Amino acid sequence: MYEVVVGINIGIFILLALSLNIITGYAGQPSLGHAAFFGIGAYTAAIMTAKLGYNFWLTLPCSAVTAGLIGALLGLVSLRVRNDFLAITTIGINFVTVAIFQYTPYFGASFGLGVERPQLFGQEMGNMHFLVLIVALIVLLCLFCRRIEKSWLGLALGGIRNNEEAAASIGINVNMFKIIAFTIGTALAGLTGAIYAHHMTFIYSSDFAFVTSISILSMIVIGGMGTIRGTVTGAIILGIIPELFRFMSDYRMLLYGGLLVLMMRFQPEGLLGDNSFLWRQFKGLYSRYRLRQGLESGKGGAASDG
Amino acid sequence: MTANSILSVRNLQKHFGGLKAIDTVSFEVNKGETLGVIGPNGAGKTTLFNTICGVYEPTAGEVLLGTQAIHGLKPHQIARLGVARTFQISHPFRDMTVLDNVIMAMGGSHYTGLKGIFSISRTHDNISKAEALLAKLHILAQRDKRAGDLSLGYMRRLEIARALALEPKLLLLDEPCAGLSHDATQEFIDIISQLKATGTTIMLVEHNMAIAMTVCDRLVVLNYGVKIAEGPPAAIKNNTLVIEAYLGRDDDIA
Amino acid sequence: MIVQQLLNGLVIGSVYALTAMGATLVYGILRILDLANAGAYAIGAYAGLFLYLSTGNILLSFAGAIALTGFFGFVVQRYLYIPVLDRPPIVPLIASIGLFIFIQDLLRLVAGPRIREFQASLPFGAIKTETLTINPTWILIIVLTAALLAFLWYLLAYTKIGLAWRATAQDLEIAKAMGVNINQVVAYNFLLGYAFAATAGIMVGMLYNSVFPTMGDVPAYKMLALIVLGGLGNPVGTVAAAVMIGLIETLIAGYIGFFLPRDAIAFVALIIILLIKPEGLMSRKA
Ligand SMILES: Nc1ncnc2c1ncn2[C@@H]1O[C@H](COP(=O)(O)OP(=O)(O)O)[C@@H](O)[C@H]1O
Ligand SMILES: [Mg+2]
Repeated sequence: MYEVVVGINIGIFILLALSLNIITGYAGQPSLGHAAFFGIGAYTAAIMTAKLGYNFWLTLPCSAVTAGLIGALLGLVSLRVRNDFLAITTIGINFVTVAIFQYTPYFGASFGLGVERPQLFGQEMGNMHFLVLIVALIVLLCLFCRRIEKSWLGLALGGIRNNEEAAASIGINVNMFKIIAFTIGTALAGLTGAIYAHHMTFIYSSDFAFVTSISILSMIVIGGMGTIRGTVTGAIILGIIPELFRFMSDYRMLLYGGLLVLMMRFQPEGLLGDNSFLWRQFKGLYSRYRLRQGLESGKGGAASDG
Repeated sequence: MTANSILSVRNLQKHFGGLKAIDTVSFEVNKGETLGVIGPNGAGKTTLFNTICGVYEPTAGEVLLGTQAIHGLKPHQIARLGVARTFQISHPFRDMTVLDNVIMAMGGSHYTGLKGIFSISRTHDNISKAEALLAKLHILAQRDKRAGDLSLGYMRRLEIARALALEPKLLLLDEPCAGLSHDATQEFIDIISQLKATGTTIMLVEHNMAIAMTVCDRLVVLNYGVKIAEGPPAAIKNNTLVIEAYLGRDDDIA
Repeated sequence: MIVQQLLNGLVIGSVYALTAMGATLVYGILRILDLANAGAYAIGAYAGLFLYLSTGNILLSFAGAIALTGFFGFVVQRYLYIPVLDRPPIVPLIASIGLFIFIQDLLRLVAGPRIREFQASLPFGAIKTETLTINPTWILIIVLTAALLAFLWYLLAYTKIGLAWRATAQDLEIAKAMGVNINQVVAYNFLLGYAFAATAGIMVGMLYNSVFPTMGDVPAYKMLALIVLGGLGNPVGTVAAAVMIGLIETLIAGYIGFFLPRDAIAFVALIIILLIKPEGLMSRKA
């Protein structure tokens, strides 16, 4: 059972990292407050089921919409406040959101909020059910992100990430796409929050604090921002290290902090980012392999690029 | 306004605080011609482009594309209407491939509404169109490189390819030859001549008089934001105001 | 009571000013938001506390902590920030966050997670009048902050290194072209900035009689707020903003009441101001 719980935790981090990757990796907008939207989703869901008596499955879309709407507001903010200052603003939003959860009695204040495990076919959902649900969502989200990369949306976000002025000069509505990126990314974080709340059955404001935002950001930065493979790898690595080496669990933040510093200093593209050392080696090997295959099958060098 | 005018700029002004970067400038760009905008450094040429493209809102005056007023529109709207540009300082999408840079400019209506934003961008059609443009600018061999890794000359060409991908009615080029070697400049003159030959309407900012004289059909001369002359290159060459503007600011040119 | 409250606000504001000064100087020349500066604040507090506990001499504890933290600042700029200067701004920002977390966790592992008391006996007593008590720590904070800021002001306004700093803050590339030794300016900048942070850390430790690993958290975020409010790398603006926030917080918490804890006030103010005037309150640029 222990492995299942670990799997769920890592799965939740993968979902969060993929959702942040849409905002920070694809659209290039720094967000150091992603956990706030995770929290908004979790609290929305917890209040809906525990206080208002709604069904768990209904909380998934509702949490996504609530977090997405507030995220759209952050998108509006990003139109005015850029780069570092956007980063600071998101820290502030994280801080204020957590303070609201922590000091408002309706949100359980410092006692947190308790919810019950949802029912599935008349039976309480167990850890295994949650794991299946989360894995299914990860697969869907990866497919969704792949689609973004291949679509006009992906190109528009890439334009904004690289140069807003140039993006506007080829007809991209920069403001609209920034808001889209924030809305999608935060809505997905909200959805993840709903699952988290019902899996944990208890949520505290501190679950959604700045350190959580930093953990999520660390995952995409270390894995390779802007790529699905990097984001997922980063979440798995950072999620699993403290579990594999039990003695590490006490050094978790030391490890995250140290890795962030080293990565930024020596490999800002991340482990598997598009221009990272490892990925370039891998691509080099792959194209040499393709070339050799091409030669052997007598097609000459034609297969070398593709 | 002449019958075949594509762009008319009327009494355009752009002030930065007390500085009149563009001071009551009017002119027309005709279909198929190459209009040069020349003038010393700081004359207001880039500001003129930015005002036409909607980066700046004009302090006063009008800009018409055909018969439609475009001043006050956003840059992305003006781009959609058919005004494409390059930048004095190249702005390629650095971490994307050369090919993607060009395909990106083909998004059209997918970039202004929510419709179709999830549809596939790199279709066979779009890829071959982009490749044709890269071939036209002689950078097809660079197709899979990251745009940020290109040399300055190639970046400039990529920007032109990207601008052409918009299928523009009017192409604005801001000092495409600045900082290039003699040979590279010569190649650029060839490229521009080739674009002219295929009927592209061009507005070219050029700091270097000699280049402007060779490629442009007509010249507009700016100095301190004021239009001091307009006409065919031969006439401009002998215009005393123009000569003075350049000689008087000789130190700036260096 | 209002005088007491104002004084209290002034003390807090002084600490904020000192805390934010290092990061303001760094932002002024490198355009890097140096969150790790708040890590230096915690390091300074711990170093000061341990030196005080082992020597019993408060002067020695200040001097030692400042020297240690200043050296740390030198190392950080030399081996972390200078090499990543030409990367996009998010790279040094994330690096500084990483370093900050690293420092905090290191302090927790080395010194333990619990709150330590910092009861220093100062060589002077409290000032008492009928309505007002100024305890010795307050006196120390106000006097020391004033002295350090005066020293900084002298340095920036009248010395060669100050001139170089101002030239670099205007335009790094031009300063380089004019022959300013940028690396030296940056090195001094970090030495000084981290030393200021250490001083602030010790004083806050004494003020609240507590030193703990995450004591840099709130100052870190508040420091960012102050840099923005103070006009992005403008030292005078930062001092003004620090005193202002110190007073506002104290008065709102003391008289009006706010549904969030007092530390959130600076954030709400920051978010509002960033929205209204994204370039900061006293920005030097148009
Ligand atoms: N965004 C701006 N804010 C203030 N002044 C500007 C701005 N852009 C350009 N200027 C000023 O306007 C004048 C014209 O500049 P510019 O159009 O770049 O000249 P050119 O391209 O002809 O060399 C210069 O004096 C320049 O300093
Ligand atoms: Mg120019």
